[in-house]
Amino acid sequence: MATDTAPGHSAWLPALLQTADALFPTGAYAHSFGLEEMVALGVVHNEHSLRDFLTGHVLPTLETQELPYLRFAFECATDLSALCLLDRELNALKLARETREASVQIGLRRLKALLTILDTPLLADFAAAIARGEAFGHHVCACALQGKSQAAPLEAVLVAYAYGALSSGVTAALKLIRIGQEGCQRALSHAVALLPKCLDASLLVARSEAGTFSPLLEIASMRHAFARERLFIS
Amino acid sequence: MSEDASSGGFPESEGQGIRGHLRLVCGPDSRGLPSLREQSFRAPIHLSKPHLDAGTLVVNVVNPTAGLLQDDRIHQDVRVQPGASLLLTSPSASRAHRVRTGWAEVSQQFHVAAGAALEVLPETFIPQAGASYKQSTRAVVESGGTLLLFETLSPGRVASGESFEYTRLDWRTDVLLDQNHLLRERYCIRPASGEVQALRRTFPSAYYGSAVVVCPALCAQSACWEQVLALHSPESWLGVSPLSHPSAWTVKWVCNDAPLLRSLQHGVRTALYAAIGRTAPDLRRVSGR
Repeated sequence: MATDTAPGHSAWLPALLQTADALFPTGAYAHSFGLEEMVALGVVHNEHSLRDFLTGHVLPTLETQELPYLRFAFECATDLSALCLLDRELNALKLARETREASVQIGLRRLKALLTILDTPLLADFAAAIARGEAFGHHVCACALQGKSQAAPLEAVLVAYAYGALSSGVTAALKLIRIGQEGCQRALSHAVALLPKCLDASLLVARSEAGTFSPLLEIASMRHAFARERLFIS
Repeated sequence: MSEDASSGGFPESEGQGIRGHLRLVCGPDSRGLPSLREQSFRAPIHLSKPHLDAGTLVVNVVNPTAGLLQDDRIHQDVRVQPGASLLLTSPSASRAHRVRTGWAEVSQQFHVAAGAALEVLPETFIPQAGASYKQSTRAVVESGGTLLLFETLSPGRVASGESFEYTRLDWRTDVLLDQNHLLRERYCIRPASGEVQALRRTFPSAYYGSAVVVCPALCAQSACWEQVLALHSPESWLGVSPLSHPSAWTVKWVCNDAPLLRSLQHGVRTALYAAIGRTAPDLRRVSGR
């Protein structure tokens, strides 16, 4: 990935770091995206299995579905009707209710927070379209608009989103399994090392093919909605 | 965007396979019973004589050949008119065989009118070693229509020691309720991929099943989902979720062997039929499942 280090050319970076930070109020900390049920089902129970979860479930979903849709949204960010169509299409791709609703909840929270710090018509127009029922407000669409508004390059927007998904999973794992901070960092490092390959592969995914085959994670997310005890919303 | 025209990354082939088709229109006859108003099919598709059961016309779609071979293309277009109920099933598993290049492909369109019902219940799909296969399904249900769409996928000829030895499966499914896009699935399954390896860590011989049900009677249902969820066990995972409309739900299951796959499908089908207030038509098979 080429990085322009000329003075002033990374003016977008501080803003991207601010909005990618866990401090930014998206509410993502309340979601495990299926991990809680994967723990309940015995699949994830230690550092090694957390690493397998990140590389076998989270990264493939990023590669073939989330990152391609983020790219499509970034590319059509200035075309509101195309963005709304994409948002509705993504809604149909997320079959588990919790996964679908988590994406919308976090997207709406991000959009709301962005509107308090950024004054761009892209964000306001999308928020108005959601209010009219023309879109749901999925997280990748909010992230794409955020990146466009910050004038961040696509590659940086993709990296920030993917890292956020991985770190969110690891943060949830801290509360769900017997693992320490160092174990979490080792598992995260292992997944992060595979991120460049995942990003490159995601750039080759056409819209007609974007989607994921992850039945165990999908089933876990579906079952989590019916769980009698749980720490996380999803 | 035309999704059917592209090779989708599959290597192109210049060979000529079979170009088969099935076109059916099912509507009520003068007595109000479902009947085939129009039918057209071409090899390798053949239809058995339909029979009525529980007010539903049961049509068995037969492929008398060994299965789908390189460059075979099958198109199915099935429409059910108001007041009619149709079950489209098959008497045996469908197979995709090894290809040297290219792929085999089935595209299918279903249309269910308001007041009509369609169940699509094919036998398990078995992709053999070296198979490359594409399947696209588009189902449009008008408000007031009922659709049950089942699908089961084997990892291969497991009894012959062949599991996950196919080359690639490309699965595309869209379900719409009027203009509302309820479900979009895009799978590109390659046995060597990370997600298949992750699946096999828990289920080494993963058999996969799914059901989509769209029915206005489901809006107020909730008890049936507990019944469906009770089919879950450590040996057979099962999940259920509403789609983006309260009358549309999906069920997914994964297990390690074919009998369990069939048993789960039977359990899901039984619960769904009870929930929508209809009697499941008898398939007239020895196992009854």
